[in-house]
Amino acid sequence: MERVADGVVTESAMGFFTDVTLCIGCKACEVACKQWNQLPSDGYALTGNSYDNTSRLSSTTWRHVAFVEQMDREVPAASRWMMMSDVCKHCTNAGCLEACPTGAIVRNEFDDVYVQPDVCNGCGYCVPSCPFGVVAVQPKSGVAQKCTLCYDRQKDGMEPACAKSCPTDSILFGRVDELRVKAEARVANLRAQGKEVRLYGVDGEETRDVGPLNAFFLIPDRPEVFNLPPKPVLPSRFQPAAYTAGLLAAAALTALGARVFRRAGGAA
Amino acid sequence: MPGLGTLYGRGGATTFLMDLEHADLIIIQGSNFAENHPVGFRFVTKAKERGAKVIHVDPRFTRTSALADQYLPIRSGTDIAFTGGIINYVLENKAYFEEYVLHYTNASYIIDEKFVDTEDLDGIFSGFNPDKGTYDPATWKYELDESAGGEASQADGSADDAKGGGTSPTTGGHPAHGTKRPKKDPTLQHPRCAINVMRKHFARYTPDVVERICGTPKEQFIDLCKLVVANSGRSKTMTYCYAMGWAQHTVGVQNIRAAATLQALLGNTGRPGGGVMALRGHASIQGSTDIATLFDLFPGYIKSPSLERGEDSFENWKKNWAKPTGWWSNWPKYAVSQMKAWFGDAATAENGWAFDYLPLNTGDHSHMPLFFTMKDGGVEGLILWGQNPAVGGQNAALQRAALGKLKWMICQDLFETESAAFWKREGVDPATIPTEIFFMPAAGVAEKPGSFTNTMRLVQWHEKAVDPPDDARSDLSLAWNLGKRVKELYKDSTRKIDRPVLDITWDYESDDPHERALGEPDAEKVLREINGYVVATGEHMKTFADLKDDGTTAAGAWIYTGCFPAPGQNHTRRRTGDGWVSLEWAWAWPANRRNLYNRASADPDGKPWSEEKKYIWWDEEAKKWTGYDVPDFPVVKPPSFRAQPGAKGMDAHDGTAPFLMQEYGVAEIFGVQGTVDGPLPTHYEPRESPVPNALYPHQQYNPVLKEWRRRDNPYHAIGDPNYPYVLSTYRLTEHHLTGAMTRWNSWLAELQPEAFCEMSPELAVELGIRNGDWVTVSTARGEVEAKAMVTGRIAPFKIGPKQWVHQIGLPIHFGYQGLVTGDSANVLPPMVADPNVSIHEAKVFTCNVRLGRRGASHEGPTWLPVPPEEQTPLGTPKRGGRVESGSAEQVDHEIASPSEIMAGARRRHDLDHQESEG
Amino acid sequence: MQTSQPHGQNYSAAGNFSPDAVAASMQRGDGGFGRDQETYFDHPILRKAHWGSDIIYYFFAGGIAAASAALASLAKRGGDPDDAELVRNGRYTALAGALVSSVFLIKDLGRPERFLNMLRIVKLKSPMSVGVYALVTFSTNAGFAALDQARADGLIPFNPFGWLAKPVRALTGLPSTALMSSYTGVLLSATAIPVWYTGRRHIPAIFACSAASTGAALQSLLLALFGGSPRTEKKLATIELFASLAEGALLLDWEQRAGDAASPVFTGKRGARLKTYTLGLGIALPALLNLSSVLSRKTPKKHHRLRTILTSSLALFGGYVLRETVVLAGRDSADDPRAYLRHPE
Repeated sequence: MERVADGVVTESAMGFFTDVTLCIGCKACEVACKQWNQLPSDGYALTGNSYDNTSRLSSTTWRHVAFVEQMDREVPAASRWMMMSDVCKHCTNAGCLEACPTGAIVRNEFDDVYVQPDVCNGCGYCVPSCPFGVVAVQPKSGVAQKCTLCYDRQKDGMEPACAKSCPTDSILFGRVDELRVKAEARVANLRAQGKEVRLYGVDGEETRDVGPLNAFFLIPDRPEVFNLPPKPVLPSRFQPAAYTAGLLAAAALTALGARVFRRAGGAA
Repeated sequence: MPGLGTLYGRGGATTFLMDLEHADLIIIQGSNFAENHPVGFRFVTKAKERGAKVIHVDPRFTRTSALADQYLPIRSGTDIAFTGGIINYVLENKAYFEEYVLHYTNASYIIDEKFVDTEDLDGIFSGFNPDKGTYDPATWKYELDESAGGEASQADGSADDAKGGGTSPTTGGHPAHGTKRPKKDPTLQHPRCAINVMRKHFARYTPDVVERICGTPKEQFIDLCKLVVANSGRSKTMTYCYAMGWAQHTVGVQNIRAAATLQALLGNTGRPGGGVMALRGHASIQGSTDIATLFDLFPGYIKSPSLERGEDSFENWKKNWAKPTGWWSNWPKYAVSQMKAWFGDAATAENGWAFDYLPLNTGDHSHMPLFFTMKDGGVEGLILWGQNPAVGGQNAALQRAALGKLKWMICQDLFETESAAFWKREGVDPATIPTEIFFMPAAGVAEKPGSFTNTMRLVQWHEKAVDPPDDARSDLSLAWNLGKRVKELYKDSTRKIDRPVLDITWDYESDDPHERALGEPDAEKVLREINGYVVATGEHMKTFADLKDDGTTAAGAWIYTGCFPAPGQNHTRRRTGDGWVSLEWAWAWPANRRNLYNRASADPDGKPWSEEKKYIWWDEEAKKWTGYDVPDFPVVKPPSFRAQPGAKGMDAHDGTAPFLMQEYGVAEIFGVQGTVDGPLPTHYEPRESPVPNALYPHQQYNPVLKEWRRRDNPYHAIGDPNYPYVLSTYRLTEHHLTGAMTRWNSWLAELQPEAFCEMSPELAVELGIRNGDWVTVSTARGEVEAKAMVTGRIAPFKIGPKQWVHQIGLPIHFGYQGLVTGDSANVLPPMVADPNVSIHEAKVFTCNVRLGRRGASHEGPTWLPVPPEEQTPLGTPKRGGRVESGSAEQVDHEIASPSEIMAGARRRHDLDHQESEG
Repeated sequence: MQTSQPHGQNYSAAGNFSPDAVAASMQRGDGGFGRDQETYFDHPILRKAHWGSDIIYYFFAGGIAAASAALASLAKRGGDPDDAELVRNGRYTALAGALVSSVFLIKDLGRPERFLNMLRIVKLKSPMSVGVYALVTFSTNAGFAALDQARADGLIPFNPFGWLAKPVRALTGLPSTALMSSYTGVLLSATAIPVWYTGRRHIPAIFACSAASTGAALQSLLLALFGGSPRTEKKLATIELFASLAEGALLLDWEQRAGDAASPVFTGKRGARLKTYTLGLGIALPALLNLSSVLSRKTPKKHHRLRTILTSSLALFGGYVLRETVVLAGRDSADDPRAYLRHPE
């Protein structure tokens, strides 16, 4: 099984290319995913946030369509309504995977990040460790859940449910290296038409910590507009400083204690 | 449907969805393509990837606008002004495709001198009878060439389509010209040749007027006209896509005709990447009209016999419908084969093919009059198959009340719909409802085999994957078993009146013991009957060309003949695609043609107009038509063929006549027959509007629209101060129709869990409404509460320097049953309909909005009569939408605000009181 | 049923359609947003941990257990017979604390029955994995120490694991105790939550100091309640004083350096609570009360029972509030997308 090293994508990585400029906001991806994985609904409440009533990814929503309205009364031709299907990024350097103490979260043979539901004990440490806020523990099942990149379907040579159901091929599934070629071509095509677009998750500064994302995007605006972090952090990077601080303090306190409880005769 | 049918010959999309990829320009108007046909929309995005431009014209900025290259706003109900504006531009600039127009349309045909246009009659055409409220189309015809031989029309000249209910999706009821030929002017100079009549008709539809009426900025409109012209012609084509945004108006059919006319002028129809893509398909609606769920149609668009048209025998029926020229000269073959399919051996030449077994139409039995009659206590029983009028019907409160007057009702559906549970709704005491209701659970689409006909006339078979649960059964099973039991009850009857029940062919028993045990019939046997067979041998029909009028063939619906040409060869099962025309993927009617009228993709000599737009052409060596699709033309008729004077049937058409369902084989841009509200589309305001008709101030709305002035169906006055805003209803991707299937599904319910009312920030600011507040929308028919969705995607329409029209919108999906519930938007509109097809006007009517919840029950009219002294002369037009003289407005004057109109009109005094009946 | 609504305005002149009115309405979120959106409907980008009281008790008890074990070890090593009570109390409370801490950790799991799965692997990159092994090792050592103590106290006839305890404790005693006292701070810091990761150079040290001060406070309390030498009491008070002052200094330094990033901890209701019960009543007040006796060179002759009970209780509660504040403030700060956007690292 090939592994990813130094941020270089190896041949076997399978993932998604999600193109915001082709998304019609139909939410077929959300529903197909829920149906295939038999996930419950997240509740019924009108949010008033454009046509987005599911709000974000959760332990029971593994594809989520965001709606961004930018209406311009001064220059009506500049008005736009952008829709993006968000998903787990299946990072090359995954914060959730690094944090998991049971080894439930693994990287499978398709190079995707997978939570083994029979191993996870719901400690929930992966949750604050994900820089994209994706994975969550479902209260009912007690285990962490997220997009599996349809691991079960992939093993049978099928494409994930969301990609299959997307009517405009806004979601493309395939080998990440091949998807990148298509993505670059699409960016060039759109830029030639005067549209300002960029790829998120290929080689921009957002990949500094988490590496290239196996599920990457073409976005026509800044990442935060779509609830994506412009600079996602990989938490393991913070450990050296943290351990140092803690152990130094512990050492100093031990020295203090040794001094206070020194043997009679002055020996400490 | 008649919009396309009366102009081109068949009531259906002229092209297929995959062909959109080959369009250079796609205009989506009167449609929310991406939201309601997301899978079909894939071909629009593919077209964009190939460089096509996509334009969306709509009152709201929707998910379709989000993917379009450009969005143009248009005030609801003003589409004819818009399209007419483009027609005017094309005519003024001589930008029409001259060769196509000359040979393939009736542009050069000279119109009878007795015809008078709306420009000369202040908003109406010649032939209007104000007492009957209908048109006599006798003057809408050609001037005939008497010297050229041929016979006059055999039909009763007074045959009046409108009285018989007026649903004529293909061609009209009366052959106007017999086998004579019309006079023509190939130089297009004659003042009465069709194109010049049209020129005059649309002369005032200038960009300025379009801006004033539609609220579309002039520069944007002119740019669009230029784009249209640049993308039509020999080597470029454009497609119009439309849906309910055009159909659901009192001028619905004319909305569609306007685009069809434009496409004919530009030479786009019948060509790859061109034509008119009518978007329908929900719930197999195309299949529903093909196999006739309309009151006045038999399967295959054969008009059912009507007493009002004097069709009381087979011969009288045939006289009106078997045309002397064109494809409909084959009418007898189809009608006879149909009767044989239904009544088998009991239908013979001697007894007029069992004509006496058929019920005759005696009036308008469409949905609205049916429900009025029901409300008045005149209907005993109702069977509802997958229909939910309690939520889907206009003036829903009236429809719900009507259901409560039935003695019994059978409702078959997947879930307990609002109609099945109408007795449980808010504010009603079930003890007061006498109706006995039988709820029969229905099998879902994967639980039964059958066909589904989508928007491109494609008939696709779907297989049964699992048994339905418990007692759920297919709709077919209920119909078949009901029939079996009724037949059993009647079996000992000797009465003549019971013969139809006894003689109707009803053998659809399944050969599969499992299905038999479930009580399910064999759906393929039904398809076989629809396809047709030779009576004597049972051999399947292979083509409708082989159908006979002598009783030797049977076919349930001639347009489907050929879909099942032999046992085991159900073509609708096929699934081989080729990325474009895909003739081996399922089967489309007629005869598996995908792009209709494709003879028009070649020039009069049979050569493609250009290499880029090659589709069908004449092969001189093989002496037949060939190409990428099934030719929509007699395959061996050469382009050089010329009809002899007095010729009949298809011999009356030249080898250059692509529209073979039409009388002379040409597209009728001047509609001599078929539409009951005029041969040319004309701008009228909707039945309810905040502003007067800027073009014809004395003719507010469609003079022959269908309305019912009753106390329980009140209409608002023009510019009624109580209802100053325009309301439009529409659908969302996440729900389906009345939500009867989707609001019970948790995955869909969470996507759109509550009813909301979209409004502009400008209106919200005015009314003090914030995003998410409860608001109540009211009309004289009732009130509905929803949460406000304040969004910049809705904008007010500027129709004058100081005049604006506010528009708000409500999705129709909500009702009181299901996992998620809400008020039904259809409580608000009145029952008013297009006169051709009785389709309701759902896309535009007036309303009011206020902050706050609605409180008590919203059933029933809330309209308080406005005292006479406060009524406006424009407010309540006479029947026919006529507005009395003295308040005439000149188009080039500034349109005053309704308050100014009211003030001025009061001075002039002429009031028309709204009548109430019932 | 009223139907009339004044309608005139919508047909009147420009006033209601002024760009300002529209822009204002759009700004309020009543309509479309402009192109300068900062976030997606102010939705969180991160997801907050589910941690609540269970984890707070786990941290609190764990810290006390670690410090109690350390104090007992140091006292035993120092060999002062006056400290015998401390050794005994320390050893037993270390084990009790380890067990209590484990119970809360297991209880907090979504699938408590699967807690042993954490021992399937050793993942040094995961502070949770490191911490679990630290906890297991510490608990084992605490168990060994308690057995040793029980045999010394005559509660059991012999210590069956005596032979094993010595090498294990020698090898793992110091590291496991040191980790127990501070790894919880690393656990928080090594996440994507801005409050926590921007405080990574402080939180683990603060937790270690707090462990020491609360551990010492608990031991003082036990001595005050159940009897012990005043000299031991003074030693404990010394440790408590220095540890808590260090804790306070670190907290203030953290507030100063992190600024806006740490505001969920130091401002608002949480900040007021922290400043009152931890900095004020938990650190400053006991320090003031104990200062004279700690600094005095005289050998203490008597207990200051009531004073000890008071200061210990205050210190313990202050330590609890510290954990509570840092955990909950950090947890809830995940809901603020702007914090993440403003504090990239």
